[in-house]
Amino acid sequence: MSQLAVTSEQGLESRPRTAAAPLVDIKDLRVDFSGADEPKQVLKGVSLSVLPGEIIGLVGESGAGKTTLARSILGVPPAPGRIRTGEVVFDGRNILALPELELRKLRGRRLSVVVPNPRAELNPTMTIGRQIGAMARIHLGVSRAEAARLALAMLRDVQIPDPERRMNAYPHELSGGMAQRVVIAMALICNPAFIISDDATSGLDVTVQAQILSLLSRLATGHRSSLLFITRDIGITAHFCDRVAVLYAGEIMELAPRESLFLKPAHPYTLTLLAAFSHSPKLRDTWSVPQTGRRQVQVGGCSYANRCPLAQPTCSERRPPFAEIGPGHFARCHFPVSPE
Amino acid sequence: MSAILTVENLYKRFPIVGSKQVVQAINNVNLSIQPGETLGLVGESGSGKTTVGRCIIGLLEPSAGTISFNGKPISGQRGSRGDIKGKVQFVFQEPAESLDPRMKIGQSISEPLLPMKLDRATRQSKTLEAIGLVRLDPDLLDAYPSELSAGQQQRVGIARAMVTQPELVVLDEPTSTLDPTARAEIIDLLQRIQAERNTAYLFISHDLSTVRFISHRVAVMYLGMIVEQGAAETVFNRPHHPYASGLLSSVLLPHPHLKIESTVSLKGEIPSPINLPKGCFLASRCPFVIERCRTEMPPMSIVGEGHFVHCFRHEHVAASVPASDTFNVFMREAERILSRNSHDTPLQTQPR
Amino acid sequence: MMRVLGYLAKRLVFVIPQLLGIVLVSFLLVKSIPGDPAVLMLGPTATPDAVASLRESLGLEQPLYIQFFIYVKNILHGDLGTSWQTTRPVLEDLVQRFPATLELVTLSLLLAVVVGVTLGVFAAKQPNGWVARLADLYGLSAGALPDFWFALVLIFVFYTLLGWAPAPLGRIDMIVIPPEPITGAYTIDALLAGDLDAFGSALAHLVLPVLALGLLNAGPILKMTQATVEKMLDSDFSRYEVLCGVPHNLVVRHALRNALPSIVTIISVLYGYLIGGAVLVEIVFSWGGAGQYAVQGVLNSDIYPVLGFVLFSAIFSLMVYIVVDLIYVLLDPRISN
Repeated sequence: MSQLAVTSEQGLESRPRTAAAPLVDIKDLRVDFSGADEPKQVLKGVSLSVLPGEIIGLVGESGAGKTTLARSILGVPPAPGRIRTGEVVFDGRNILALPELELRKLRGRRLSVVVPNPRAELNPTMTIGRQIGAMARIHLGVSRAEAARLALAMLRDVQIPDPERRMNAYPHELSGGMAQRVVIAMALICNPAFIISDDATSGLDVTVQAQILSLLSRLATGHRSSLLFITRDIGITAHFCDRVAVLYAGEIMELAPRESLFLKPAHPYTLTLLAAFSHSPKLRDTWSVPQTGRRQVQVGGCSYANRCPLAQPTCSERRPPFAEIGPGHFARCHFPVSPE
Repeated sequence: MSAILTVENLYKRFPIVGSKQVVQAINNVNLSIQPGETLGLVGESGSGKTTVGRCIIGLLEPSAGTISFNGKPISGQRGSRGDIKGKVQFVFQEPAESLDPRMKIGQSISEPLLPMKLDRATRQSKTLEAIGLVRLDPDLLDAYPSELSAGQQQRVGIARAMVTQPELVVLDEPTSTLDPTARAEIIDLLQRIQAERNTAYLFISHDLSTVRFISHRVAVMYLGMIVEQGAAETVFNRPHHPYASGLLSSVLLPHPHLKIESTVSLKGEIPSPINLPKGCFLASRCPFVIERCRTEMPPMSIVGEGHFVHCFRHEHVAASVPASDTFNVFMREAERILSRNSHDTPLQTQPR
Repeated sequence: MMRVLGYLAKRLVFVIPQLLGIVLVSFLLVKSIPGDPAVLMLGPTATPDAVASLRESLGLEQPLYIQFFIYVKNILHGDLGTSWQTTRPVLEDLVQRFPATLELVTLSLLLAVVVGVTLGVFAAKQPNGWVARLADLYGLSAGALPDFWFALVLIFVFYTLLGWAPAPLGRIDMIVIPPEPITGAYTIDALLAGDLDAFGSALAHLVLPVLALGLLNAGPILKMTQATVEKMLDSDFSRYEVLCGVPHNLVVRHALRNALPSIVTIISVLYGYLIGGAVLVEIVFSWGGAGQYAVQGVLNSDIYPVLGFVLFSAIFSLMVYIVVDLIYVLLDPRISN
């Protein structure tokens, strides 16, 4: 009669946690966008270690640098971005220093990206069966027939209804939710060790989003891959991620295990985000600074200083260090909010 | 109190070019809004909620049914919109697209005043009043939309809607493209305006948390039909329709321990609005389905004061989970966590 | 398959009214050329009586719409009129000359496509490489150089100086008998007849004019290919393929596939244009093609050859465009719905 919803929390509690070396170690990644006069710093030194089998959430608003980060990790920053400096260590090597040919072999095979807006990103003149199969043919070197078989199996895994027929469909014939599943299939068919999901569920209906989220986390667990889940919606990370990082203006402002972040948030920006989602007028008065005039960019010191309700003079002068304020809990703030 | 807006037996069909089929966008919608009240209209894609909004504002003509404002019909042949000029306004989803990029903010805001034949001074003062209402600097009147953030652009959109002092504002997903912080500001703003001006809102959205807090009453739409309608708290705390319950179960609140209890997890995709099934539209996906659901359309059942639902098994649905006000619980939890952690030093309100 | 046939049927229905319209406009334009054909035919010593009686017999005194009606009626009987210069029926003249032009233009276009698309793709692949720079230079020169001048240069170098090419006096050596006309194209007909001498001679005579027309017309094809492929490489889906680790050659190949509609368009436009546009090269090589024929007609107010040429070109262009549209339907699955 009634169906029990499988909550992701049960899945997460039983996930194996290893204190091993990180699978992917992003070190001080800086990306600039070349502009008319001065290049604009989009990523200002992002560092993040992802452990094997872990799901890390990365929350940021628009313009924070989420897509830039997702693509720069694979060495393909979106135009007109250029990677200025930084390392991405995977399998003991800095993949950003590898020759393009070597890096190409890793992309899609050991590290892959699930992109948002899939109908714009899929090749409009190729059937989806061929596109998914192409990944297998290129990276695994299998025959065309084998690739088709793998693609069909993948379509079943991502729970596309009527998969045999859909193999011959073109991207424009699919709905948003189905196209998203196709892109997930493409990202996972080679069984990568590290998956980046770049805002993969924005624009989808809530019920479809719920299905896609549980699908992603199930597949990641099943394939024993790590997942970097980038999103604008901090609520999702509370239920699907082991650790959560908060991105603002190209820097990670806070990084903590799930429970710590939501029950003991330390950075004022994180608190602003949580207050925004709580719909409590009292909290919003405390934690936001309304913007009444033209946009202003903070120069010097902490990037959040001009919007922070707790800002002090020091904040505009010195860039705060990324300090550990609790077990596994880091914040980039001169005056982090401390729990009582 | 008589309703400010009444929608009766509304139908809207869109013919498909080159075929005899039609898209049945709206199928027998009935609703009413009281003065100063917010009715939240929720649904996913294909639910028809945007189409309802456009019929009310007059961008589309209904295929059947009547829309009345303050008792007078404004749709169809008997209706005329001349008397309600300026009394019903619209706020669009994408502020960047609904503002002319080559027009200054001030011009955009005063645009709805043009057909009202006022003199320039009156228009200017009303524009100033509107921009003050949305708490933006008056010197932004000379700026262009590209100089503003998305949140500020949407505030301009609201100022433009409020400049004619409407009695009803239809808002179509006003915050879906905004970041959470901007979203929060807009919601605050809307609530404040409603408190000051007693404006009624038809708030169309798929964001359930926002709808829960801004609406007095809520109507849940699926494939052009309102499947459940009632006071926001009542419907959200204990939904009687499987679809409403399923929608709520997909809401993810930013708290690792709080989840909205539901026994419904909706599988599959939303069917096409072209070939609607004979019985209940949800039958193909519903975990509570019985034979009767596939052949008969469930009639309206009254569940409580102003609370209606279209489902044969609504009692089962309601009984399957205990009532819980998870949204409120979350708000109080958040207040506890976030206020407990505030710093001692005095808070700044405006940076300089 | 069904959608292709259905589309074809729909297009063919419109061909007749299109043709009628084209012929009407050409008729009116030709009639508005100054000069009295009767005077031109009889020469400057003709008496007014002779001129008048000739005009009478040619039907030039009748109102325009009657003349047009008679003309269309004749076309439907296969009579395109007579050229007073060659004194032969226009249909006969064109049946001989049109394939000559077609043979020349088709081979030239083939060369142009091979050169243009190849260079264009290479230039798009490496926008800062030497191929791209070469392509820029090529595109510039091809647009600036006149085709008949280039043809003369080729003749000078390869015939006069080096003696490698045959004399530019037509389609085939004087001493070689042309093959039995089946298609009208000497190369094909010679092969069909098994006449290798004629085939070799016809081919040798084609080399220089094809080089002249082909190399210069490769310019626009190159630029269009380069521009469109570059744009495709910049699109979201190409970037996504890079993100998935797809090898560069494959990314370029997919981009080319998506760029094909634009390239095919420009090829079809060139094809239609060259039927008449090859006339200067035809003159340099004494080709005896249809363009030459039509130009003579214009210069001498010999209207039937001109109208006949217009009709043939129009039918040809319409066929080309229908084929191109069919190719679109096949290439892009988004059309046809």
